[in-house]
Amino acid sequence: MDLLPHQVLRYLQLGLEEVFDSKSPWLCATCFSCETECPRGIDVSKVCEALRNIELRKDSRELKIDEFSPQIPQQGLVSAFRKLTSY
Amino acid sequence: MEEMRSYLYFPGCSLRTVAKDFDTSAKASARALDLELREMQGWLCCGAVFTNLTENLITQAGPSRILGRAQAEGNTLVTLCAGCYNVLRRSSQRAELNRINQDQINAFNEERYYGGVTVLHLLEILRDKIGFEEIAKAVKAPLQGLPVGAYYGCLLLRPFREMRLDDPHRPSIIEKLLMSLGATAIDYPSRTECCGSYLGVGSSEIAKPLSSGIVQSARSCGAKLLAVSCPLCKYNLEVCQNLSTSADTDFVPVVYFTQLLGLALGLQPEQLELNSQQLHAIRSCARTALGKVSQ
Repeated sequence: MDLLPHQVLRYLQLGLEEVFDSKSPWLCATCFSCETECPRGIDVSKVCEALRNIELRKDSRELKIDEFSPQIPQQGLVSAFRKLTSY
Repeated sequence: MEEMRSYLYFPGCSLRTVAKDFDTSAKASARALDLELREMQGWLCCGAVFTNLTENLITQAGPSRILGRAQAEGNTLVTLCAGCYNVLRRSSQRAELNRINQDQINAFNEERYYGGVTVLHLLEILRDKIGFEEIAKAVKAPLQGLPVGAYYGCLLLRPFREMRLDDPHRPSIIEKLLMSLGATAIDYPSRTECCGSYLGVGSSEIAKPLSSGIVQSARSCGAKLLAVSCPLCKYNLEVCQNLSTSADTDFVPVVYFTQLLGLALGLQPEQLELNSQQLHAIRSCARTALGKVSQ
């Protein structure tokens, strides 16, 4: 992650648009760990999803799959396309 | 035990395809405990991930439709896949709390659902409706000496305020089940960390360090087997090991908790769809009756 979760939030507080150049929101797997640990009760996965969606609604994004394995569970495919592409 | 108890059951897409072993072993083990998992009518994809976007209602249409259809058959819906559990449990609560949004979703679906279905994980049924002590009494082939690492991942436990299955920091539900089966539950630091989830689908580079870290953590604490409740976690934990170059002896097979449950209840490995690699790991560690029943 080029910006740690608390840094993403600081960028947002300061209104720095550079936050959209960061890869961090795209590396968030929505595991809710930050949210569980955050002493200020911030829902970091929700913030990351919002940041991704601002981008996804501007430009379309595709998911590039290195090598498709038929063993990938359906839930994984559906999640990845829903979270990481424009639909 | 009393007469057969029956629960409405939602399998989900992965359990019908790559994770048939999870579905089969759960149904077989449940039956051994006088429990019937009755598949609900007309189920469809739950959407796999619960959306964090509060204004994009279309993503909630699927789970709402499932819950509405389930309600026609009962007020409790049992799931196995951690993903489905997370989505359906949270969707049911959201439908109850946010009536304005739910009006729109219902109008779209041309169905009526305003909450009321309690979504439970099979683990909750085992703990709260049967009890681990009762399960221990039903064990025919204790998994004595089998060191198993329970892997929870994210979706079973978090977000805690909605899931409330167990302590999000120090869960114990799977360990307690494993101990009631006679196995040794291995405590290791990474059991609630993220395996990389869907990030592993696009690029293994991102998910691999996460899932490898979990396997290493479990292995270094002595686990010879990992028990999970999610097909995607299982996939990530296995793929990261297949990609690595270390020797075969280091491989930690991943099984569904229901497969171990079934084995301890005296079912045959074929009924539980255990593969040779998983069986080898189990047989090489478990000391007692298991060798006899599984031949």
